[in-house]
Amino acid sequence: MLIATRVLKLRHSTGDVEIPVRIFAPEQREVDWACRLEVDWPDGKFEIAARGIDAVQALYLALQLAGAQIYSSAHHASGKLAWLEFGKGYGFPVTNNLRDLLVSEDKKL
Amino acid sequence: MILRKSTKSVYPPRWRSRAEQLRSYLDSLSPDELRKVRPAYYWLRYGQKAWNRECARKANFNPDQPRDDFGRWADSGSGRQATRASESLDENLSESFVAARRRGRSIAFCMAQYAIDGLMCNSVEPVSRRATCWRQAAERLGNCLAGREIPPLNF
Repeated sequence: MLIATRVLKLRHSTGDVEIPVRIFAPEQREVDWACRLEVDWPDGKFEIAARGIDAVQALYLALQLAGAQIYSSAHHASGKLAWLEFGKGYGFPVTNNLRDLLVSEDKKL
Repeated sequence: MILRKSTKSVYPPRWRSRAEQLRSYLDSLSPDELRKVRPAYYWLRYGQKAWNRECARKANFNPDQPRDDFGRWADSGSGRQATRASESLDENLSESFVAARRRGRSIAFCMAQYAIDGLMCNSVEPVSRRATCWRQAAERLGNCLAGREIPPLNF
């Protein structure tokens, strides 16, 4: 079940392209929990189920992995990707070792 | 009576350094052979024209395309094409840059690594260590995606 969506925009010569980031409700698996995440890039969808010991950890790690995927993407590197404003970050946390990649407001997360 | 033993030197009349011998060998090769054996020397010897030809070959260069005085694509209906090609090149460069940063590891590789880490984490006891395992697995995936060194899964 989809519980949250954030729409990023990618500046393109033909206009802005919407990049939806979708977070689904954590689901219990055999041992632990999984929280599905999708980033719908124009060149293909990135999908993963972040795993955690409970629903909260699975959800938190899904948000971190969304941030890791966005910050390590070619689109971020190109400087053409934005959430609310260009260069102001995307409002997602990242995994601990990638905090140095954060820009602007995201550094405060 | 003094007998003198006459010996011929086995060395060539002039001492030649290894570099000279190598150069003379390389100079004896055809351009194609030289390009395979020692590409750097090939480019040095055959110069800018060969380099330009090679670049053009790799970039799918078409000499029949209309061009202006500066060699840029002319506007005759292909201006948009030039822009598109330039954008495509930008995107390709950008993708190549990220792929290079990923140190040759594809996204599929990173996902496979996360799946394997998951098998490990599922079997960890007690629960507190399993939580650490999942956090580390996510960190390893993040680093893999960003092309960084992958930390250990040592929970």
